[in-house]
Amino acid sequence: MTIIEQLLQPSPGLTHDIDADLRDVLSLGPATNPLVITPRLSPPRGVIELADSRRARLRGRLVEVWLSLWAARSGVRPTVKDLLDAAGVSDQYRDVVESFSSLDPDSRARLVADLRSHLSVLDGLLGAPSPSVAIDLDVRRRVVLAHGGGELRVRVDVVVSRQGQRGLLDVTTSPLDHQIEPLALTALADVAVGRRPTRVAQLSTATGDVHWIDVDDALLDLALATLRQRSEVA
Amino acid sequence: MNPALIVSLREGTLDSLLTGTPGFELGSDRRRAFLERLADLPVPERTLLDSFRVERGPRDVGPFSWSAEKAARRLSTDVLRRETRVRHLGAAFDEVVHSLTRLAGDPRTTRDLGSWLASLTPGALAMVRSRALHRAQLTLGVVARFSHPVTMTPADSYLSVTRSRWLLRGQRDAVIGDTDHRILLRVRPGSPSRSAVRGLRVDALIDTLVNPSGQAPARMVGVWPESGLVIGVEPALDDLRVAARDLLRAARLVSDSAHQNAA
Repeated sequence: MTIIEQLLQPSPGLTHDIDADLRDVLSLGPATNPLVITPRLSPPRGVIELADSRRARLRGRLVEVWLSLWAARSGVRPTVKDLLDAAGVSDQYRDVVESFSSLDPDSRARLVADLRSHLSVLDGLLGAPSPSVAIDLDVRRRVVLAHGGGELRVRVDVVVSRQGQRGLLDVTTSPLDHQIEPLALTALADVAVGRRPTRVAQLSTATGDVHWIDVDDALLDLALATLRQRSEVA
Repeated sequence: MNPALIVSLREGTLDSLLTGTPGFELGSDRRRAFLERLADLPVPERTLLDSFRVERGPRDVGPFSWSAEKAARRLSTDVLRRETRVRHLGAAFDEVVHSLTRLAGDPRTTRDLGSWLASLTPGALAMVRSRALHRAQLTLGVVARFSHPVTMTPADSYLSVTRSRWLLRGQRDAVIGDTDHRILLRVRPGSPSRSAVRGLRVDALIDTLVNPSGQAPARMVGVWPESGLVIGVEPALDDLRVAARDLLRAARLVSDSAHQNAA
């Protein structure tokens, strides 16, 4: 079963009155002194060097381009050249082509080899998307927090939905750190804009690991506690 | 000036915005005065003036060239005029692209969308497909949240300003209600910019100028479904005045820049 099908399997879901639960924590309005809270405090230990390297950033951006083509069900099984062609016509990704061209031939060859390995993992885990599954990419949420004037900012790489089931997927080219709090905050940001996610997951294209969890009352309680804690620390 | 309404996109949010009073009527003397001031600003070639210019501010817009994102808005509108079932949007996209590229000219000599699409490699076309279908799905998702009938608009509203080379464009994706009580809808990807409200006022102003009796839309609604945000503007006289000032400022920047380039 692909990760997409796993994300869309029925799950117990939320039973709380979400609006009542969130009312004291979340509200929309102008933030006077915005404290920005993101799901991850810092890159997991051991991957800082990887995340910082220019090649790794470029690889991450090309993986995003691959996801765009995958979600569009274009029938193209993209090669690296296809990805660069695709990036070259997009306002969002045009810089990728320039960065790729500016690499020396050795770095370029390493990037291409590395990218092929990541894409092969992605292709295997995601599979071809079923026509009945709606896919949204790069979904960004900005939720203004009532107390502390802060803002929760979340970016979800892939959102899949089908007949009331809704899965959120974070795709990373780094190894996973298996923390639950980032997934909980990702789910909370979706709930805060009136959605009902059923599962949330993180996938590593470096290792092929997938960490997924049901979105239930306990997960949202954890997210709210994490938010309060982060607001107080700040 | 009516304060802009900024709310989160929840169940019933969009329907709650459909209660505006009929649109304000902008007198012909005011319309004429604004258009004359605009016509006094010279530009060497036909120049499009819209909310994008206003939202972008003093940054240089540069000469027009197609991109996947720019093509997506036009293509998604064409796709949704043919098909509104999500699972068939891909096939509708293929039909739209086929009909546009059939009579394509040489992309080196023409700037039309069909010629540009015909020049793309399979990878590049896949990106255009991705952007267009994503946009079509966003729009469908927003339209489905209304309990009232929503009409997809086949095109934006345009007004060619006499005695000048300015072309005004009011952007809109759908309309709800009749002409006197119309509510215009814009569906936008990403998050609203800091000047999103100003952009919506400008769209409302241009739609007012295009209307034969100068009647403003009852409300202009911008929806950013990816961010879960909705901004509603109910254009009164002061809102339209601010929008006119913003448009003139943007036009002056374009005019000055063209003048400097020529010198």
